[in-house]
Amino acid sequence: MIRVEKVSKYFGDLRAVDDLSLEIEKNQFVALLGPNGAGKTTLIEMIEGIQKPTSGTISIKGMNWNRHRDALYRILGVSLQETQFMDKITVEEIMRLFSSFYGLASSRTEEVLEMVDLESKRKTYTVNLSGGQRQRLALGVALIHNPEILLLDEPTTGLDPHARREVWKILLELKSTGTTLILTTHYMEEAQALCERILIMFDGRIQTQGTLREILNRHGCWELIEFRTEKPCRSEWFDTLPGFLTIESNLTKEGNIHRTRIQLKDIAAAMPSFWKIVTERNLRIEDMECRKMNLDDLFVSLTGRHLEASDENEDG
Amino acid sequence: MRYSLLQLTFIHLKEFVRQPAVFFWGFLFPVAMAWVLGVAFSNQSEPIHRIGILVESKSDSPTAVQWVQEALDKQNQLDVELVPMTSEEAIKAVKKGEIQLYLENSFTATSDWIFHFDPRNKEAERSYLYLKSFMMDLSDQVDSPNTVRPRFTLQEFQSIGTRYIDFLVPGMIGMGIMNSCLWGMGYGLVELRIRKLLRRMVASPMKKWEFLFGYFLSRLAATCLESAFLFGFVFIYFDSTVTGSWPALLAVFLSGNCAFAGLAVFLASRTDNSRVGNGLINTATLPMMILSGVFFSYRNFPEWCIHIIQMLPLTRLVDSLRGIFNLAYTMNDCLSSIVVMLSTGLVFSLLGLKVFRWH
Repeated sequence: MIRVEKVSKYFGDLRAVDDLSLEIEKNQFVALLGPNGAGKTTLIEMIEGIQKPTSGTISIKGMNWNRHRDALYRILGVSLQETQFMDKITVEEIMRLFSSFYGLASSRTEEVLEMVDLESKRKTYTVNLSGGQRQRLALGVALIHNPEILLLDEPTTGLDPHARREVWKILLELKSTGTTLILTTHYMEEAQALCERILIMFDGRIQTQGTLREILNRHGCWELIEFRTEKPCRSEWFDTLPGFLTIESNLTKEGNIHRTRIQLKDIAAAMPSFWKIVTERNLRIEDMECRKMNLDDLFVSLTGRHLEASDENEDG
Repeated sequence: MRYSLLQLTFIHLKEFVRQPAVFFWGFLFPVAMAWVLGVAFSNQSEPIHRIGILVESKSDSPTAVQWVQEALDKQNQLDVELVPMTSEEAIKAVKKGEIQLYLENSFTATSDWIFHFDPRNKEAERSYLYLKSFMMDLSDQVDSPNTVRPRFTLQEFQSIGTRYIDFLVPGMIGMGIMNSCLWGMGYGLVELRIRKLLRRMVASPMKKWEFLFGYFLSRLAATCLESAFLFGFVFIYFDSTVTGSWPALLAVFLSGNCAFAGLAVFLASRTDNSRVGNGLINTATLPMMILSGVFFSYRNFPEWCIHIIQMLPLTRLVDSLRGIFNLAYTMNDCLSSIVVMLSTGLVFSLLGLKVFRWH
């Protein structure tokens, strides 16, 4: 459906996307996950035809932006990051405007308003919509012509959890219609909830990709014990634990409290030995968490940065 | 001073000076404007008051004209330019805005003077008071018991087309067209770019020419309503009329809109900064508003710059509208201005579209 081959994009000296290749199948829901500045927006805007690659090629259903612009506009639905509609125009008027670009009947506007649950807001000026309603309007505009491929750039950024879930619900309903979806996000749970395929981007490259389980297994994402102690811990105390993988000790220090994280194959198997060491070393544990590793942990191990704690600047 | 207040003050100041475009509009542009208006147009050797003086025919050199002219020369009054003209020429010159006042006397005595002007026109009133005081001074200096003190009579313009309101309304309509296009369309485009809506719209099969033409039509509808409203008011309240050709008025109106819509596309072609957009549009509108004869005649500017002023699109538009309203201009009289305005619109549109930033 979508083929990206050896695509690079430079803005002056800044390399936003670096020799990136990618293939996306029909009806796949794909998340481009990464912090701001990772190159997600640049990549998706090149697929949308808004930006031209410095090098490499992009083809969508065998077509490209140089030759098949009009045909591509009709199969792609786009929601850009931070689009603001005209303030004193109503929801219905915006929908009608965009449907006119595709030569659609007004009945389609009604269908889409229902789909994005904005029927009751049809006469509301866009300036008076909440953040979630604006995002649903942007989604409605993207869906107006019933596109085969939906490209959404951070569709839920800045929304509260409830509003975010409302957008997810609409997107999940599209799954059964055969739509192909690519969305960029820096919310790990969004990628997990919506997409069967996740691409983790950092520094203009895809660091890893696959289903969530594939990624976690491939990168040896096992289990974690995180705990905080008054005394600092030394790495060598724990490297004899059964199934021990890595340890990061004294991660943060809050007053006299030290945080330590141990990566293991199986927490249950290691737990008796763990408590033995704690007792022998007379470590007073303030709090402790045992869990499976998630995407965020993986992201930290791949890039050294947290996904959601990344800066809020414009994506390169 | 509190440290936080100091920090806040410096932060805002740094933000200001680190934006070169804002720095330009804030500092350099006002200086440039002050130079153009203050220095270039304050040349004392150029006349400020252009006043008509009636003669029976142009070849005459009547005593009255000589008397005033000699007196002016004697007192080194270089800021008054006397223009001998017949009564018919004087009325035409008033309608065109070339003069706001003309003098008449009996041609046999220098003592009886009639000043023809509209007292509601402040510029004309200033010229009248200035000339009157100077002529009074002059008669006081003539040390002779037989000297008759000059008598001054005011003759208010009565006929439609010679009043200040008749001069003003075409100027206001022209300025309305300019502002509506440059602010309504030009600034509107910059705002759409800032909101990233322009980017969103071109990521659809929307035709770019349809988008711009639609914008133009919306501004045209707005200027039609605004102008009709203004004209309706002066028609009812001041009995103003259109003495010239209505098709010519329509053609001038449309071509004026084209010229400024083209300029709007050009000015809004690149920037996505509201302050820069503001500055660019002000750069275009302010000089034209001052120079193009909207509120007062540009004939009072130095001769060397009148030719430049006449090339400005707003001058073309306002002069043509004034001719149609007051001087019974036909399509032929306006043809050259229509062609120039359409060409201006076309050239600026093409230049603008060549560098237009849709994304």
